[in-house]
Amino acid sequence: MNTKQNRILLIDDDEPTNFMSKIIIQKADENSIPSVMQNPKSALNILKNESINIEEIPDLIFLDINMPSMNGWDFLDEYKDLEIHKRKNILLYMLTTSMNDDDDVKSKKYSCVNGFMVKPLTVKSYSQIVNKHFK
Amino acid sequence: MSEVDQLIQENKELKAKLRDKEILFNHIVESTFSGYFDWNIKEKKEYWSPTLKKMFGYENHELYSSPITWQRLIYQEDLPIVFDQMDAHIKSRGKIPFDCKMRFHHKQGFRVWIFCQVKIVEWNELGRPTRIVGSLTDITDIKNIQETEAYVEQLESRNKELQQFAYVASHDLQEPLRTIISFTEHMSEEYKDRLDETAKTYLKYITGASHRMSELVKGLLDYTRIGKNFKIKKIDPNKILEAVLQDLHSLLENKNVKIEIEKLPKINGLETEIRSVFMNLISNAVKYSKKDVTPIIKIGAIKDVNVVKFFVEDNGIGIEKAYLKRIFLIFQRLHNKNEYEGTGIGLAHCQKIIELHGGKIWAESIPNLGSSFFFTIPA
Repeated sequence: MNTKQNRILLIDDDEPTNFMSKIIIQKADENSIPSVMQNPKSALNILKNESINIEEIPDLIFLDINMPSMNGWDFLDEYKDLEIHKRKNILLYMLTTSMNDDDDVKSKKYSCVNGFMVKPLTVKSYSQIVNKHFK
Repeated sequence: MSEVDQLIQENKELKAKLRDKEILFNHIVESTFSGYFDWNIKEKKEYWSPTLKKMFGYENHELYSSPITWQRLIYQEDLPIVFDQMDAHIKSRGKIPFDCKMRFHHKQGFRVWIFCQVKIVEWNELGRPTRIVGSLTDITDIKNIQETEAYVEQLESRNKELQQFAYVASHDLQEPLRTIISFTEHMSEEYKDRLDETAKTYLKYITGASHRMSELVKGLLDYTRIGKNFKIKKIDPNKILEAVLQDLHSLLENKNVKIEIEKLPKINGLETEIRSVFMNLISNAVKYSKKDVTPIIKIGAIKDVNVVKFFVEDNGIGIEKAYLKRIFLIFQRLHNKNEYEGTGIGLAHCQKIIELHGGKIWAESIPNLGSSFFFTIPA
């Protein structure tokens, strides 16, 4: 029987974090396929591409806040207006190292943000997301 | 002369003397810049000198002299103090003096601090005051200075606290870091044959992150140390630049960098710190140069009326307009660790140093063409 695959896009410039996140995601849910983009600008270019197949569009994006050059907030400013939202509902969680009050308030201003998670991703925390959205 | 004529003459002379005395009195009082009032309680008449009314921003005709007026103009929180002091003055039959500092609303809305001294000069049979005179002096400037001084003291104390905190934190953070680095290295070495690829990757990440943290902590420590030796003197930026270029000699040679320098004017500043700024800006210019283009760095200065404006110009990769201010924030970087190494402290360092000198530092840039960094030092 074909169970639906969940395409997870990790946008984070930190290699060790991505290395670990991929392992955690695959461990927590065998139907989750993680992929990594270290450069948010490249991620935006892909999402802007109208010829992208609907299966290639991620189901969930984990977005790091603290990135050099274009940071998470800069990314959101462009991401929120993309046409791609009309084709598919993409979940988005912001990843941060600290539960700063400001960040939480800020993330609520963007309706495309589903939530806010503290790094590092754990099997437990990722499983909660899987149970909430993918089951 | 008849008696009546004599009396009329005397009266005239007394009136003249009185008028003279009044004029003299007014001159004296007005010249002290104090306002005064004369309150005849019995006859329900109050006199306010024009200077008094001016203190509150009013012309003579704009204010009606009465207790209601000053009770309206005074800060309401200060009224109880006035009444209490007045009570004490009356009950002690004048032995306890009335001198009070109070706040009034100026006609233009701002706050005026007044020092008021009052004296009861006439009493009735029942021991109640019937005539009160008083002088008021504007002490707003003095009060403002006092408040500023108190605030400065607070800020200085807080600043010292923060410096100490940063110093101790950075210092104490180094030790466990050293432990992590050293034991990770031992592990990589001694268990080399018994570790699989994943374990080696983990260790690689641990070592990388620990070294990075160590750099950041060292950078923080240096940042907190800026300005500790505050010895401003006349310095020669040409000599400083020469030393910096000497230090960077091999780097400049390896990258085939062309340096164009103009003669720089002497300035008042901190030698080590200014050297640090040049070192930082020039290193950055080299670091962010375009790969296939000969890096050209121009250094010079423009002398203006109050400041000397230095510039370090390059033909490198440039900076996007949106990030021109961000780059001066501590730890803020524009590039991945893998593309260009660095901690992101350098420019924050430079900004702190330049601001310490009372100057400003900023950048202008055209992406792909190059960047110019400017900083001013007061002449």
